[in-house]
Amino acid sequence: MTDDRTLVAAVLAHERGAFARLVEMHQGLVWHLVQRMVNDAEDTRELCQEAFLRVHQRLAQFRFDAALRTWIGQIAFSVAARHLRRKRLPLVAYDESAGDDPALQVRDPVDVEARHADAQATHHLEAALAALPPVPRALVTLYHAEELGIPEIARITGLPEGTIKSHLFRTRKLLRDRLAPLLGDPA
Amino acid sequence: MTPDPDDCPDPRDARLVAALRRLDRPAPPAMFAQDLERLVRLRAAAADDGARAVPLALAILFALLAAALVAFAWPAWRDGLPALPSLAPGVAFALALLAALAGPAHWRALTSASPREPR
Repeated sequence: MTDDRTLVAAVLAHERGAFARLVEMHQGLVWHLVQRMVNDAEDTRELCQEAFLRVHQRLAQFRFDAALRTWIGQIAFSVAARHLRRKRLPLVAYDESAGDDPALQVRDPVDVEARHADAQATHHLEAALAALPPVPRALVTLYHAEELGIPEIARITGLPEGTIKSHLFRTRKLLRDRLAPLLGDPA
Repeated sequence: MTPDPDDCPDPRDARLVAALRRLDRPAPPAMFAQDLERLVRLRAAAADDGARAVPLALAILFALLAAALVAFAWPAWRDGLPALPSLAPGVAFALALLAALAGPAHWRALTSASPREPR
């Protein structure tokens, strides 16, 4: 938190390089979150830029009641969610049939043990993730890939903790069902 | 922070979770942060330019108003006719004074500004 304060003070004092330092510290989380939500490289670039410009614009209003990372994540999430709403894309609605692409239905377990099994599993996992609605995709990214805690994710997304847990449970089940042959599901 | 295992109780999730953690993290292009900082500085400089232009615009506006008022009222004053309310000369003087104040304010804004960013 002290580092956050020092960095924020430097940015507000227009110290050269301070804002670039702030962006470098948090661009990984922002890029990952936005990319997973919007699934488009060009949109991701524009939205990440918009998110950081908004961070710069509102930094004086940041009251340190949360970590700077959480606050920035919150802004990135809201920028991406607004973009998806403008495009009239559903944020949460699950489509149970989405992702039932024949390419995902790998039935031959020998493939899993083949030399490129990991690459193949990753490819199919990416495809299965892409077939999820944006919010569950964001939650899985924040929890399992970025390894943030549920309370922090709740602050970023504005969702209740119970809702997040239930989304995570449901999303894992969906992914597990779709990828069972690749993951070598014992069930 | 490591996720709480209680939130992930199904043992069948273990392989899925491991696979999720192994996924590549999409990364921003090189120089993204530096480009953003440059953009922010350019925007701040543009905003400064706008703020600096305000006193000059006000000076010009007040001077024009004062001149228009004097030009309009001059024939009546010359003939000694009270065609205009007697406060017209006062208003003209006030406008000229505001113009005289706004001009130097613009000059001060220009000269006391922080060093400009190279464009």
